[in-house]
Amino acid sequence: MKQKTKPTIMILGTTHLGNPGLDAFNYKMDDVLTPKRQNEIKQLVQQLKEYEPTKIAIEWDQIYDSQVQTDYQEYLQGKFELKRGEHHQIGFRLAEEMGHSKLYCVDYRLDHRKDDPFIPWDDFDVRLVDYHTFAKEHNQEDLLPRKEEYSVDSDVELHEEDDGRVWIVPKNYISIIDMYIQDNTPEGRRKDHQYYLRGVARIGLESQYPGANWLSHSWYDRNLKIFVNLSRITESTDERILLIIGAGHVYLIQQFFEEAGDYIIESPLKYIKSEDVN
Amino acid sequence: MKQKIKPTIMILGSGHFDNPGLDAYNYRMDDVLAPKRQSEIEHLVAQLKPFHPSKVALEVDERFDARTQEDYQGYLNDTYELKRGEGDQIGFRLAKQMGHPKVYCVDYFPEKDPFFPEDFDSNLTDLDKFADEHNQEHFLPSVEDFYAGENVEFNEEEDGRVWIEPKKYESIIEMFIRGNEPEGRCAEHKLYLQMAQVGLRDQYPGANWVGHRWYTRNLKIFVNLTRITKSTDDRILLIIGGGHVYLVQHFLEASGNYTLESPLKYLKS
Repeated sequence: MKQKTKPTIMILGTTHLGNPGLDAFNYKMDDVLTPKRQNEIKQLVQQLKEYEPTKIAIEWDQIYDSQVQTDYQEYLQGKFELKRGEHHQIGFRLAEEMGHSKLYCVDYRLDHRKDDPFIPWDDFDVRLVDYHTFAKEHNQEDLLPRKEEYSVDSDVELHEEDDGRVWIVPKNYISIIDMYIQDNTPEGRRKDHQYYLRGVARIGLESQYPGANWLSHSWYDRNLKIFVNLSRITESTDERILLIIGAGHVYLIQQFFEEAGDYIIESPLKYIKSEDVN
Repeated sequence: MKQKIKPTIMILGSGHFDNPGLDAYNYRMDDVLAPKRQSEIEHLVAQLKPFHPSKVALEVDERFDARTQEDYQGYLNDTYELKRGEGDQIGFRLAKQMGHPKVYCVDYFPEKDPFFPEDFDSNLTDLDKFADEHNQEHFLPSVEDFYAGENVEFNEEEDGRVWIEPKKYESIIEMFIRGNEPEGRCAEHKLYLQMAQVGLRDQYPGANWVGHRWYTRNLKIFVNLTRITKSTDDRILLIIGGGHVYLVQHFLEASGNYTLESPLKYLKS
């Protein structure tokens, strides 16, 4: 058999299971700690195990690394109760099943690093990247994400909060596995990315580019550094890395890997199968 | 089925005609004002004309717009002599032949960039220096990488600049056909992702340069193209350094708002 010449990466796009509500549009999860959801998650972890990951990378900034490793070690010793987030529910479980000694924090969070040299939040003219306010003040709301783009999916309802955040609430029960199949459909991910270029990027006028500034100096920068961090943790061509990350990141990070051409990319849809439980 | 009508863009990747020698590596052009080169350029312009551009966009920053329009008006009135740059040689000629009242400056290269203040620490984006100091030269592309499989040789000058010189005579049209092959453009883009990896721990000079300099500039060129698009009838020709083609084209395609045409459809040697 031909020797493997490239390491492998698989990116699992995820809904934030703990409902942090950090994004403009947020998928509303019911409580994943209920026994039914827990069963579904364990089933998903079993399916992902077939990928045989050598390392599991999660959407946490390096600055939280020691916290994550402490939690994981306690979890291994049965002294830590998993919280609702996907890095615990899926990442910790799968890492334990695979016998991994640690997890890998690969995110780069500008907003958690007050000392970022390009966007130092405490000493920064936020108008340079605040495309939302710019759009409202310059009649460019049509370039902002719109609720209608989500409403086309007839299986969901939208609830807007006073602060403008929108919760996407499923009308019918959907199993964790079906949710992950949905979250990892290439067409959906391509649309996320298209939206950034079609809408956000273009917010601005003349010498002002708040949309393009945010998109390149923040969004591209973050995803490019996640790509770099994943290459840094790759130690051999036998490596099979699993990245668990918010679905909105999948397109861009995967594109960097495809363009660089140094990895074999596997799709989680190869492993996640909807099973008829009835 | 009804096809959604979209405006059209064609990106013509170009070498720099006027030998500015600004880069570490520079392609050596002989003098494009020589009669033989002039007739080759006129031939190229005649081949591009069937694209029927409604606007010609150039790799010139907005702040030079007034001067560029003044030069172009002078050219229309026969009071301005074309300089060696590809903007003048191809852009002005084609715009005039199409009867355009102006040309469009879409580059983003401002004198003062708010993300790079005067006290900016240049180490943050100096991937060459970091790679040299941390044994990461393997991430830096060699000049040969940029010209893989091409008919060129490399001559280094005493000041370290390298001139890339063609081994045998190549006509302008042959040069543009070679320079616009999609494989070459992808191979070149790949080098940026390699360079992005220069760095260690909290230091990301490679990703900083690629993200905060290169992606930003190309994204804003894309944005500027969308700003000059006024209707679905627009057929914009962008003339730009070959290194930009992959990214600008990717942004246009990913937006789903444009029909892209390849110059290889029009160029025939």
